[in-house]
Amino acid sequence: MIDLLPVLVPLPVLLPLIGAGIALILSKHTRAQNIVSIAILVAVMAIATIMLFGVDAHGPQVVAIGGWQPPAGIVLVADRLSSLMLIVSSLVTLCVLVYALSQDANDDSNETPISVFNPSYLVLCAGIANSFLAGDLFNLYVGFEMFLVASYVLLTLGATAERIRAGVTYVIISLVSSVIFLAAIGIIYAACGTVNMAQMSERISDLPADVQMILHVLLLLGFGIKAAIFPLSFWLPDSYPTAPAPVTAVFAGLLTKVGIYAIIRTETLLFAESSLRVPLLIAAGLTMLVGIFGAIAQSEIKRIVSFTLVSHIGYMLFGVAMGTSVGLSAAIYYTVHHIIVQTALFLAIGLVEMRGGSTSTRSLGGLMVLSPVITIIFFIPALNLSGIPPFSGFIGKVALFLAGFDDHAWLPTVLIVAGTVTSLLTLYVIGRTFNLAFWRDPADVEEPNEDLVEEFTERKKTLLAGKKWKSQIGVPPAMVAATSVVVIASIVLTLAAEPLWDMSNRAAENLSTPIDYVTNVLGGDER
Amino acid sequence: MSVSFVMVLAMGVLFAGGIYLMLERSLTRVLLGFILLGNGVNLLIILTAGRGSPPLTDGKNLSTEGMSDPLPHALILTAIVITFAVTAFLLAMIYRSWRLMRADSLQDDDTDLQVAITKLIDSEAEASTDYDDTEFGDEAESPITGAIDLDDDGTPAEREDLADDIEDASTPAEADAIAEEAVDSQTEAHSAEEAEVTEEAEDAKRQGDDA
Repeated sequence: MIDLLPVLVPLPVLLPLIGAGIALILSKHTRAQNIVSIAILVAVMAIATIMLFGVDAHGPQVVAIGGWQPPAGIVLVADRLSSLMLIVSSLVTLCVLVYALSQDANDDSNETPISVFNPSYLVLCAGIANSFLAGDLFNLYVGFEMFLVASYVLLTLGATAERIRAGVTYVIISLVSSVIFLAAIGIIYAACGTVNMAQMSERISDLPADVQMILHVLLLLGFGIKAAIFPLSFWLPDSYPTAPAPVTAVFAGLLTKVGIYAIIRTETLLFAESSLRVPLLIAAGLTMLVGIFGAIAQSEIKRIVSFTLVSHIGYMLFGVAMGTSVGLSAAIYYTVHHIIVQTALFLAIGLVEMRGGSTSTRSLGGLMVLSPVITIIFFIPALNLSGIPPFSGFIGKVALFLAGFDDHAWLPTVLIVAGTVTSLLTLYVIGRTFNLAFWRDPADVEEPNEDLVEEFTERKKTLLAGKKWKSQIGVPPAMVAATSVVVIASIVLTLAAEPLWDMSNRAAENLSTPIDYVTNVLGGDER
Repeated sequence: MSVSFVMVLAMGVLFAGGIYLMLERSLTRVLLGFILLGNGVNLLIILTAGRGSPPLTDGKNLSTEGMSDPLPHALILTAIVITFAVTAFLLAMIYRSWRLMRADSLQDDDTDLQVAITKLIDSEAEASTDYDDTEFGDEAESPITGAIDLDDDGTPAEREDLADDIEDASTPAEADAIAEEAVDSQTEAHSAEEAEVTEEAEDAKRQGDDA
């Protein structure tokens, strides 16, 4: 069993890439392509599950690619944090794929050419997995580029005017972040003579403080753009909402979190001693507040949720910036929670769009009567996001705030206040959205949608007459099922909060002792 | 490790030029800027290798003395390929943007503009209702209980409520509806105040239409 573990480590990267190739060859046979894609992602999820338990029991697994031993060769490292992220991301990518395929099968608008979707989606999964497993800064960059290039294609699927407009901003911003990251790698190599993170961890503390600061800031800038941290977050609400619903869901759930993961990794491993604690805490507070104020001004649900996404990145950064073991563990728990909830919310919005023909609160209404199922699917993650007990959002926020109190400093206390305000404002935004889109009579809205109004009156009549009513516009059951799985996963995070919290704790402990990571990778004494 | 000053200068110029061009709104310039920036970074990586002889041995003397570091050369190959692929993608996207919009510049976000305009209308409507700048109206602001109202357009407080309603209306259509309702309920009244209120509603509507 233990011997098998290192074999599994490269598979989450390898399998989707092979799958992407097969899917490309099978581009004429939609059915076969879909089966291959789903099978690959199911396999990745199974592997991630085995890896999580294996790594938890037997310690981090290190694989030297091609037999080139570190520090010269490229290594993949699976520790608790990366395995945890891997399993969550594989669950989310699988559900979103099922959702997307079902939507495509039922969509005749021809906006999403399916033959390109599957391969790019699998490359995206491989890139994300590679970023989580990379034990080498340059490999991390390659992982970033893999999923970024795939995301460029997915964001501009169909190449409509609106998507191209949003895509241009997204691509250029991402390119700038990649260039900054790459420049940081070049400078780090010049300073330390290595790109292996474990070796770098040993050497970086010998550098002069000012050089360390430059490296630190450069890396944070690169990751900060990806993670959408204020003031580097303005691109996100502009570009995400125009993409197809499943694409937005997976981007919102995972891509920003890869940035957060990279920040956690570099903060703990490379810059454990030279901390930029104060600026990071301030950025975290501003991210929360500016994001949520942006959400209040919007009237389009996708844009509202994109702004709340930016806002909640602040919570994770808050945990990371505190740098304590408790703070890190709260940040990890919150990241897991947020990946699942944000994805569920965007998938639910996709269902709303399909059902109501729009995502603008100016033309939606009466969805509560028209589609109770979608209402529940939207309502649970919405409450979860705003941190209503007993959902996982509440647990995550409480954990963060407790970690903040533990610090006994004034800045974390200010951030706790900012976090509470943000949480309440999120509730306000979500409540308003719910009132407008789900509760209101569709005839009362600013830009009434005739189909909705007609259906609503008809439905009310039949309900008053006490008859059963069958909807004319059906939403594909596979889409509802896929979304429900993510919603149920978000509830499981509450029910299984204790094991998950323990796991985050252990992962955070690993992170707080970077020397263990170094000995594991560089083949110290006990491996 | 020694680095040529000219190369560092060239790298700086590439970075500066690249960032300057990327700040432009024209997409072709952004593309050129990205190419410069990408090459600046590549130059940075190659500079980390330092100067030296090729990393080759004759098979007998295995000393690495005087060789340049081969790893950055491997890194730069990957970086060049990635930059190249992304440049191709960007070029295709800019061409598509040109075909769709007939403009080689970044377009504004419509939804963003809509949000901005809605806010603008709100603030203008607020400004235009500030017509009553004296205390001396045609009626007492706070009359004693039981005071007789001589005209039937309602008390100043009621009229203010109506004006507020119109102002709060989020769309021109709604403002219109409220104003119409007010007119209907006061068909017999022909006071100057009433005319003023309707006029104001018309104003709000016109502003909405203009926007």
